[in-house]
Amino acid sequence: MAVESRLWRPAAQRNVRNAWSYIQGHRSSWSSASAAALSSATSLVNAYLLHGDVETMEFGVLADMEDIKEKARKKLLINQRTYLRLYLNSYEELVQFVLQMTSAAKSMKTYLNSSGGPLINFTNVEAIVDGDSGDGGGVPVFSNLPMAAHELLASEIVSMFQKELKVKWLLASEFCKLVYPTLEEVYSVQKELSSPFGSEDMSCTSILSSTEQESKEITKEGANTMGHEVKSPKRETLQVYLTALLAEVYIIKDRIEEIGKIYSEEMSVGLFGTP
Amino acid sequence: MERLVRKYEQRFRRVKEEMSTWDALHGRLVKQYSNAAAILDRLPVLVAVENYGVLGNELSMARDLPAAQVESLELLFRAMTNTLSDLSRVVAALEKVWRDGCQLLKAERQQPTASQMQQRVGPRPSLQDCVNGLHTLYQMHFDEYNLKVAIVSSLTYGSRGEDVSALQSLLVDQPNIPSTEVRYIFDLIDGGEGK
Repeated sequence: MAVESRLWRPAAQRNVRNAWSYIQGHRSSWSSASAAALSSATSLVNAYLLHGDVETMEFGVLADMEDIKEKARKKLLINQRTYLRLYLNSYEELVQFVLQMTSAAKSMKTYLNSSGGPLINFTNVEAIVDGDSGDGGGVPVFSNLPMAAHELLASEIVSMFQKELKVKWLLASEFCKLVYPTLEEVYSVQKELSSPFGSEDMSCTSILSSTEQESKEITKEGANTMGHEVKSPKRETLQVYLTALLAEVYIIKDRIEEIGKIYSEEMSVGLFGTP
Repeated sequence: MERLVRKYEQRFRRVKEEMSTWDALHGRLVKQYSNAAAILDRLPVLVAVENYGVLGNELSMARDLPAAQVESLELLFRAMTNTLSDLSRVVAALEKVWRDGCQLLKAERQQPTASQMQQRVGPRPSLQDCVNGLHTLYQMHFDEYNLKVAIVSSLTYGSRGEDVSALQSLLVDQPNIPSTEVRYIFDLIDGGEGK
């Protein structure tokens, strides 16, 4: 065991360290992308609300100008589409970050011993230790925590971001409906917005189908009222959406800091404590 | 007397430093206050579940979001208290500068006469100008500090929207520190240094 773990440790440590620094790096890029998403969502909502208000607005001296309201509406619609595009771009970035974080959290183990089969080494490490299931039989990687604990902590952080991504995804579909109220357009945008969680995440696909159903109902209503008048969300709801984007309730900063502290303690002891 | 005036000019340089600290703290306080006001403004919207639209269906958002906002509101309250105590330190420093200035006069072996107090040498300010300037600047910041404390402590969960925005503009304006008067005092003092 001692020999094995001595052979096992350096590669495992390097791998774990890399995985953590990946997660940390993507976390900081997440925060800049999500700030960008918030600001474009704010502009989008403002343009949307203004668009609704154009009819009752006082234009003063401008009122005599030809088609001023029509032009203002058109302009605001174009703005909405631009901001929606920006929001979706930021969202796509966020998806990428979360995907990379997820794969980093899953690739902490250096070796994988499939049941009875040959040992699979899934990083570019030359040395292979036989009979290793990847967690070194539960020995501490650095000083105290075994591999399983590292993986648990990493997946805890990643799941926070996954939850938050789901919120952003829900809001993305809402914003799409806001800007493109008719069914065809919603479909085309939603096709672009593939679910980040793959097909195995049932909850997310069920949300997708439910929103599709909803938009079908909406177009039915729209067909009845003969026009683009769909059930538009209230001002308050939009405010809640923006606050949700701002607050990122599922990303618990205190807990992330705590985990970071645990890890750095591990590391600093590990630097001098490894045999 | 010119020797004394020069000493006072040093004191005013110190006041200037303190006042730039004040400005930075003031900016911070305004930012914190407006953030807190924004949160207070949207809390009633956030506690109503029917406002959650698509987010209300599956996630525990309707419960977590107001909680998170209240938490950051509490943090803002605490941060504002900290900023206020930093501001009170600036006020105390200004008071000390003024008292030291008074002490400077008293320590003279030969007390300056009334006419000497008024006397001006070239572009330099008179002794009376210096003492008065120090006192006025201290008094302004002292009053403004008290106003800020009153405004910040009036911000509670029960505050109404229009009150909050009125108080916010009062906080931004700093009515007790009129910038023209401050500039007048410093112009008077800098008369001797400007060259």
